[in-house]
Amino acid sequence: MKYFFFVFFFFCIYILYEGLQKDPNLVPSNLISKEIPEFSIESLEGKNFTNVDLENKEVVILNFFASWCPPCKIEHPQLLKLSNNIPIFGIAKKNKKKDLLPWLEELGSPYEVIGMDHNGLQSINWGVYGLPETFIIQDGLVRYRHVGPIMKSDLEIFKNLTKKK
Amino acid sequence: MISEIGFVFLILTLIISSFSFAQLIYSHVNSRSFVFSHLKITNLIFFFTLSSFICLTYSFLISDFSLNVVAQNSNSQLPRIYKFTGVWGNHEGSILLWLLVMTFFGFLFSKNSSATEEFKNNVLKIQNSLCFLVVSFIIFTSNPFEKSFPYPIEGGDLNPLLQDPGLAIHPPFLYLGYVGFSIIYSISVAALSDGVKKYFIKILKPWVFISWIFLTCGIGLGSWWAYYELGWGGFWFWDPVENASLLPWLTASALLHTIVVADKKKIFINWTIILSILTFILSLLGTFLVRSGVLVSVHAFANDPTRGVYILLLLASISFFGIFKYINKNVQFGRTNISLISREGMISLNNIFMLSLTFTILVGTIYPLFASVLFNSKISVGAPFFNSILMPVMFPFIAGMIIGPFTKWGKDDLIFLLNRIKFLILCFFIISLLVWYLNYKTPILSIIFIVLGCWIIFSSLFEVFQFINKKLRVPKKIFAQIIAHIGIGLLIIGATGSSILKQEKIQFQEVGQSLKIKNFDVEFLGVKKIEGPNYISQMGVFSIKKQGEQIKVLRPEKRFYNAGKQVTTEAAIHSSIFGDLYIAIGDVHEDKTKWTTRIWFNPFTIWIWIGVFFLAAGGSLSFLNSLSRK
Amino acid sequence: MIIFIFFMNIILSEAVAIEPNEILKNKELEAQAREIGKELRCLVCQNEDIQNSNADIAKDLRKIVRIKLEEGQSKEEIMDFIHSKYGDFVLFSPPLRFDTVGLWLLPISFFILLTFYFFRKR
Repeated sequence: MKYFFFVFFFFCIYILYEGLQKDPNLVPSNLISKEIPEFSIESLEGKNFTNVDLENKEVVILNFFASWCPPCKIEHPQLLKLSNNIPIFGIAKKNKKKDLLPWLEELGSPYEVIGMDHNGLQSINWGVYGLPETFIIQDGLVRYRHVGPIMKSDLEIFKNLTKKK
Repeated sequence: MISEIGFVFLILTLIISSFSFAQLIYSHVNSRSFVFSHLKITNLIFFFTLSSFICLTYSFLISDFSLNVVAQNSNSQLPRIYKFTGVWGNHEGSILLWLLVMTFFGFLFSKNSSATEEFKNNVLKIQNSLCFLVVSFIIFTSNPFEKSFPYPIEGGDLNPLLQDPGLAIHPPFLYLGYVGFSIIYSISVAALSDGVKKYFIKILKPWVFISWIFLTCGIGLGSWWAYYELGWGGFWFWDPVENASLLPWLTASALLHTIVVADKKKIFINWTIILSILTFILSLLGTFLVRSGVLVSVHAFANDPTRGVYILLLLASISFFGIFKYINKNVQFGRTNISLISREGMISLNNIFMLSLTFTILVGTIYPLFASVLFNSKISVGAPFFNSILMPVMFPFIAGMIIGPFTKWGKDDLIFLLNRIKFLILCFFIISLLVWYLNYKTPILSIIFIVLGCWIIFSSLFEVFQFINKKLRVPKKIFAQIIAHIGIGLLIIGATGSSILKQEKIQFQEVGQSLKIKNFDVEFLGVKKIEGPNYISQMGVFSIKKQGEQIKVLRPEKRFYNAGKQVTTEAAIHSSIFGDLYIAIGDVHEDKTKWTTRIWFNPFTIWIWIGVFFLAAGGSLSFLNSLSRK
Repeated sequence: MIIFIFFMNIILSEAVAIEPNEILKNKELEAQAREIGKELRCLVCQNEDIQNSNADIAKDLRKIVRIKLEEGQSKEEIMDFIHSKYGDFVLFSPPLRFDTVGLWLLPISFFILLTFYFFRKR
């Protein structure tokens, strides 16, 4: 009984210690290994942008961003670099065309298509909780989600994950 | 210069308290312990810590930005009072306050106690060792006297939320409570190695009461602050940090009840010791949860993993020592059978529910952590879970609270008991019908809780009535219990009113527009720009009318703090015994003539604070009582 | 330090509740929306429900809850939808599963043990 108690005690301390190493603010995506959600929104050019556009490709990147989001500017050069090898689709959250166009003009566009998420509901559909967020989609399944700006140090992960079979 | 002196005082505290610590360890290895006076050490470390604290305070008052903490948490524009309270508005300073309170309790114990010299020495040996652990934590991981280089000309800002009288005085109260439990721990552990002499309960008692009173006030002040500062009238959020303060409060409340029985009947003595040790362990656990950043909480401190590891080490070693001492005690406690319908049975019931509640809240608070480590799953446990657990526990708990004071010691009979309180039961029926009749339109849950609150108050008053009926004076001890129980009753009514019965009006209000809420007419007169010492404020002016007559002008504010570029809301409240009219002002509407205004009527909220006051008053009476009986 | 400042901003921005233009005209639906709002966590805030938070995500979630209510969806359907998108972390009372069952089982077993401890016969 005595020993059992001490084992339990040290077990609790161990858990608390392990807990210290974890970041409580990190929220995993619930869409990993699932089929991408269905959607149909207007693109920047006024056309239709749907889930079929993403499913047709072997590997694609889907990036949620906005011109009003400062960290999105930080990750922009990395996206441009990635766009040489992999098609990147963007969804601009709560962004007006007149703000977005000059922003893209200035920085260059890595995106094949940009969907306009005017009311922010498409972001909820994808479980996005902050900008920017980036998904890697393979054969219509969500493979990976990255929260926050893609830094130079993250490029390696992206390159490995998006290698074509 | 002053700051260097402060640091030297801290080092001295470390060195001197290490003697006590060394002896504590040594006496376990070697039964022949060297003799020196821990009383002297206690006095010395108290004065050294006090001096160190004064040095830090001085650095804050003169805005000495060569110190890191001052540079980050204070600036020259800050009003003097907040420069002063800024000392504990940050991690390093507040831990120093922790230490100060800890040494202060040791100091008080050395001065004012009926204990024998030997016992005193044993208690202070442990208390000084605790101080040693804390001071080493301060020096090695969170030194408030750390220099910043190169040092800035102007400081950052004290978090504007902390620039408020309610929050400024709330930490000292909380720490006096939290840390007060350290002396209870020390006394109990010392008693264990002392063979648990009978007198130890009498020594322990006043310290339990005084710490409990401070913690009660601390928690009360905290929720009062949340109520008027956060801008939507909530007062309790089941946030991990709030739970952390509630846990030791609950076990200490259980201890309050147990110690009375232990003192009177000489039973539950082992239980008293367990609760004493547990209460301090939970205080430390709370500190760990708040300071290490393992949980997501509103009240985040800037955190640093090495600190977390160190506090965990502290927590582990102090709890291990206490538990080890308890398990290896060389005394056997006799025990008697307890029947449910008796005073002992009712106190047991109280303990069972209080402890189960504590355990439930503890599990709810740290389960996300356990789940993420063990199952790698990320879950949240919040208000809906805690409320759903609280509900079923409340009813038997309140029932026990009502019947308890009318039961006899030893063995009682249910029929006789009911016969004794038959008049009270009749009153209960009348009250229930009355409350239901007056409020039949409101949700059933609110009626149930308000009725329960009234029952508690009436049963307490009935106790007084019984004494008067027998032409007896109400004994002080019982009077204290009655007041505290009335406090709980008021608390329940207040909490029910301000959560379930709350009415709201949220809208864009035009200047000159009048709105009706409850029986008030709230007219919006406009917005003024006010310049404070270190902020600019948008002050809404509202005229409150009742039946066409102006009774008050309310001025809620939205403040923009210059230094940190931060915004706070300051609600304006008109309180009465029936409820609070609570107004907060938001942003201007796009067309510039309308403002977002949020108006609430929170029924009975004032009774929460009055209830807390009653609790503290009851505790104080018991405290005075426990002192004078020595 | 930067992270610290970042959190401070979140803490301060959350101090405001729902905006007037979000409130539904239909009082019954609005009450239902409040009920749902209290059970959903604002993911970027520090332990706050979406009802009383001013963060962008909380606003969006409040909006979608109201849109779906007006479409005639039930509370369960809406909760399931948001749960499927954001995972367990968004729910303030976790779903009953093997890894969460301890949350209820532990307190109950503790209660039984304690009762036994106090009232056992010698």
